Amino acid sequence: MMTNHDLDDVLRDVLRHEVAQELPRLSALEERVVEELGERVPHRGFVGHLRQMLAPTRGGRISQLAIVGATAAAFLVLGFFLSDRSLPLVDPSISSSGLATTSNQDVLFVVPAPDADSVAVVGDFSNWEAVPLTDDNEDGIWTASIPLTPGRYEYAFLIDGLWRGQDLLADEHVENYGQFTSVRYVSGGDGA
Amino acid sequence: MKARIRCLIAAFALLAAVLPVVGQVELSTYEQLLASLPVSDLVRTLSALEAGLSQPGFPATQVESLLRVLIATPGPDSDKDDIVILLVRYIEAGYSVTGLLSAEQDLINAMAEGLPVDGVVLEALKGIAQHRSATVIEQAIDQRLSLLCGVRDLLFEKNIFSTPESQGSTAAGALPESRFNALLTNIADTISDFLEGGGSPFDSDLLYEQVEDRLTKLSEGVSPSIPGSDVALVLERFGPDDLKRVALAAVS
Repeated sequence: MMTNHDLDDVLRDVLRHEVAQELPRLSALEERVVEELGERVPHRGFVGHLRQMLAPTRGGRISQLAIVGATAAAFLVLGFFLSDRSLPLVDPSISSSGLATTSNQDVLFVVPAPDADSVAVVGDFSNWEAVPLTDDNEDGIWTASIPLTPGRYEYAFLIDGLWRGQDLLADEHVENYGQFTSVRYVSGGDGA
Repeated sequence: MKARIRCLIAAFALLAAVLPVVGQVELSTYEQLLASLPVSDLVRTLSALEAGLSQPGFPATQVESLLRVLIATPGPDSDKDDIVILLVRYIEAGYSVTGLLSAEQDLINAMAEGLPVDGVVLEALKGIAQHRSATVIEQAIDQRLSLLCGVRDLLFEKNIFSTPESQGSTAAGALPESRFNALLTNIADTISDFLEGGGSPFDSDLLYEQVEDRLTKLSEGVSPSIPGSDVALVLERFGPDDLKRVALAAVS
């Protein structure tokens, strides 16, 4: 009759044998898992990531806040990359008198709308008539460059005809008629 | 007796045939009037008025009268153009022009008083872009005009007034018209935005901060018409209670 002690020895031997057999398969397991996961993740590109961030998700307030946060981060990154594409708000060149000059500046309006069929900007610079934005490379980022003299401008985007008044690139927002409107302050150039 | 009745019927028939002709306004009448106005887009304006004439209930004669008053009233060309643009956009958007006529008359009166009405018109155009009801838009015009009057009176009260552009700034508080109007428009707009955004006139410190913030931003290289010295002048002479008084008057 086998005692408990004998049984322990047998089990120990079996386990040792099993582990010895599996050891080659366990070597470099972590690296191989990471490699395989990398192969399975589809390469979405910038638009894909934007789509993922903007896609509706289940869950409550926390997930909504996460989406808002992610979108804000996307805009910040976008703003960083576009800052050398003549975004007027970061133009520090103001005339030495302290007064703005009145030369026109190309002001870039940009909004991500991957699923939109039409995007336009309306503002006081156009008497609130739609100026279309374009997405020539179909990456979901719609842009328009509008020449504006220095001043304070109110505007909103119309995405498939729907009012979107909270541009994250705006300097501030105001609320009129129960809806938000974005505001940009366009500084003067050097008058050259 | 029968002859009398026949005569009466004939007279009524004649009147019925003639009256609509008498009340009708031809497009050419508008065209002649618009030739005397600084309209930036004559083709579009005429096209809108033609569309208006084809609509039942279009107040054709009142629109004609309004255009005549606009021609006779002195004011900046740009403001007159704005007033016509608002009329055009109302028609194009399918709003009833009848309700607008009173607001347009108020705009003309304000322009005649020297008030800068371009910001008020822009606010109305924004309302059209947002598809707000005509009533809401006309209320917004009314409130903005009221604020313009209130802020102008406050500026006068604080000895800040406008002088002809050519005269320049002759004394502390005497500002060239463009600078005076820029202050007036932006202070009134800020109060209006504050109120529309749910702000209370009794929260006057916050209102004062918002006015200070906007004027300061504009003076920092943004608006050629608002130098820092003008902002300092306003902030020195205005207090939160002054703004509260103007805001309260506009909402009451």
